[in-house]
Amino acid sequence: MLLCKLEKIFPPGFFNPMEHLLIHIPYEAKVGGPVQYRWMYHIERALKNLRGMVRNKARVEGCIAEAFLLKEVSYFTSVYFAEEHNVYAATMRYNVDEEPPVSDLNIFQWRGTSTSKGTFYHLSMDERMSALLYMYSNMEEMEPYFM
Amino acid sequence: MAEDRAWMYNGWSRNGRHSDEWVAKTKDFVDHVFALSLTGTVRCPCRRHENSIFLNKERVSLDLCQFGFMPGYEVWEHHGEVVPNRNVEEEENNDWAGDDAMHEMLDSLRPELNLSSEDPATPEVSRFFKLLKDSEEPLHEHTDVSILAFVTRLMAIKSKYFFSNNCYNEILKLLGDVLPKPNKLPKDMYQSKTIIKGLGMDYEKIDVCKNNCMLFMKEHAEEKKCLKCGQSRFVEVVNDEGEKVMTDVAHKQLRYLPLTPRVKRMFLSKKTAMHMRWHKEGVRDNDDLIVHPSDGDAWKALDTFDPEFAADPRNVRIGLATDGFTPFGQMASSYSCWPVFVIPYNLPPSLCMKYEFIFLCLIIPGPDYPGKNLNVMLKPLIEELKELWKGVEAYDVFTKQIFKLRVAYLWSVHDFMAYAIFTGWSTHGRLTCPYCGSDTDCFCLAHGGKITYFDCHRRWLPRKHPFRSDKKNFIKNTVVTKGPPKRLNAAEIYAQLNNLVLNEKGDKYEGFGVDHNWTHICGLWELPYMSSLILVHNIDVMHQESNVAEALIHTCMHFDKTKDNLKARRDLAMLCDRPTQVLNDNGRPPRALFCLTSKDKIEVMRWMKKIKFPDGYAAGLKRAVNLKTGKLTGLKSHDFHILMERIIPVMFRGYMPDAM
Repeated sequence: MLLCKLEKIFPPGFFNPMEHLLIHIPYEAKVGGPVQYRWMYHIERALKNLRGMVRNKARVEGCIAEAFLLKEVSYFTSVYFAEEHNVYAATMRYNVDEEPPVSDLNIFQWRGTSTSKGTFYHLSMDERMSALLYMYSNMEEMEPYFM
Repeated sequence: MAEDRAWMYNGWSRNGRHSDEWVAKTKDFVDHVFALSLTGTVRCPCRRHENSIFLNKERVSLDLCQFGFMPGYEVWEHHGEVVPNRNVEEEENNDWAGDDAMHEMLDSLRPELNLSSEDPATPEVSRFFKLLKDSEEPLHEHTDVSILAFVTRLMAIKSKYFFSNNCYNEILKLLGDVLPKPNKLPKDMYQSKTIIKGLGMDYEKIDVCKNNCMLFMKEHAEEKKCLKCGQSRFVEVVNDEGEKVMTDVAHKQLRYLPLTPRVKRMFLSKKTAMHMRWHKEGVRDNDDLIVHPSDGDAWKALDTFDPEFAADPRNVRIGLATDGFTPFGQMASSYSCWPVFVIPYNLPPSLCMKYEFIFLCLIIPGPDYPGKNLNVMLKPLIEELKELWKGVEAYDVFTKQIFKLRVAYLWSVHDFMAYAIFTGWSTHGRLTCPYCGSDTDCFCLAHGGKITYFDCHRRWLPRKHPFRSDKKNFIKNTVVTKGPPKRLNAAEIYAQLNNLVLNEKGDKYEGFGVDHNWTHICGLWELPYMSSLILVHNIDVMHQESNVAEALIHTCMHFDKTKDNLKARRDLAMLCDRPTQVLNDNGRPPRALFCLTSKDKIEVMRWMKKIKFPDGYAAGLKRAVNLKTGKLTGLKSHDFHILMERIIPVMFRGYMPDAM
């Protein structure tokens, strides 16, 4: 349907085989399931890794095979490492430091710290009011008062 | 522990005069244990074997009489009993050091070794005991870290950051200088490798003909020359006397990493063994959604073909993927090597398709493009898949059972180039589309000189759709009445393949390019269940999307690769009835309706330069935008994905006439 609409607009040269194949994709999705299991992104990423394994450019295949074996071993053993020893464990996306929370109030409890030293800034009256409003309306402790 | 088991050690005596209580209770133990076992073998708990190997009933009874129970085995943990509080202890240990878990790892490796060999003198078993020794010995006096834990951790870092062997050696040297003196640090890469040898799996090298026509394996293992092209298998050199001598160095080698041990290993680690059952037992939040291939019809097609296979959740479905790969960068040289990957699809969505679970299986050597000889190279893999369909014995740590593991091929994933050489359906010429087959209306453009599928899609519309009888907007004066082409199922494709006859020259099949586009028959069709599959090969959506998006962007923004060039306009005038877009008298094309004006184009580009996405969602798209030249450069396939999904729907809106 959409392709037909496009056909009304674009010149014939636009419809090469690649554009035609679009018409078969819905069928594949219906039968095969979500596309992330059936496309090449993961494979291309794996290939990128293989490229890194090639250290001796005269012996490409040998390099890959040896390095891949090593990789398999290290993945297998890494399951048994303690979390902080495992280089394959996922890293935190937050900048977490040991810093005591500023206050006991619920709204000041978050994970992560700022990346740089703070600077000072004078709030105007309006800004102060809206900041306070935000705080009050998002605090669990305030809920009984709103009822 | 419910009962007192002091009898195990009190009643037994070295001279064979065991107490009656011991004899009766031991008999009970043996009966109890073998009743639990499915295979007729259990770990022998005698003083000599200490649960290290699996034996049958007679041997276990005999050994128990002869050697007695191993010391400290009051809780029969290897025979179906649970050690109280053990899990808690383990977790605590894991918190501070990795070496205790090393033992656990070796424990899970143990059954596989003993399955394959009863005889304790085989190299695998002796290697295993060496591993065990290394895992107990600390690196030096003042530490708890064992040699094995040290080496495996360092190796993990090495393989994550790809440092070279030399770099590894230098680091070891530095560590050796720093650590207190009597230490057991391996000297170099070679020594470290020997330490972890027992953990690794091996690969095979198979000699290949220089022109990729045949493999020197199985019945051809002894051949010296290729049976097809007559090329020598080995490198020939001229010796001092000026004679041509054959060395034993092969011209080309295919590296084959057998699949069986890799799939077996997935069941040897508790976590993955559990995840391997997900496809059947995993919880889906919404039953109506297809969240995993196992919810789709393609998966279920095989279930109906062989219900026995479907019954065991541990049976594995795999996908194959191939792609050409240039190790020296895209431009550098024409070297292309073709790795073949195997992907197990049993895993839950969070693990499936992760790099850890994509196995490299074959490395098809370069430097030339294998073409249809890729099929020859796949042979060892296909042979193995045949074996795996029949089933191999494997040990499952999750349920602590030996079971028959079977593996089935589900589908393959390729880009459109690899599709041609993998499936055997050439994707060139008129019959490009493997779905439509010979029933297609595509034609060659008179001016553009290319194949076009213009106006081939009205047949998919419902019968009474107004577009079908539209004589103006599509090819002029045509009405489409026929329905979509018949989609062949695998059985029909198989029949088609079987009917192929070679032509007189013997290089092509009869009717190539007219009735079909088969260049060769993919070896996968030898698999017994192949004709029951629905979706044999996938069209790769990633490449698809990037090609379409590229064409769309270039055409709409009128970049170099626009499809709307002079030739296209001439074709358009011939085929369609679009007077506004015909070349005018001085041979210049009027601006197409879908094309942005240059003012709008700059506006869109400025907007794209400022666009922001959540962290990790899209790689800096704005770097592709070049405001000075007014172009988009260096877009990658994922950028096109984002463009297609998020940007194109909004970017042209408002600039185009409402009719579109």
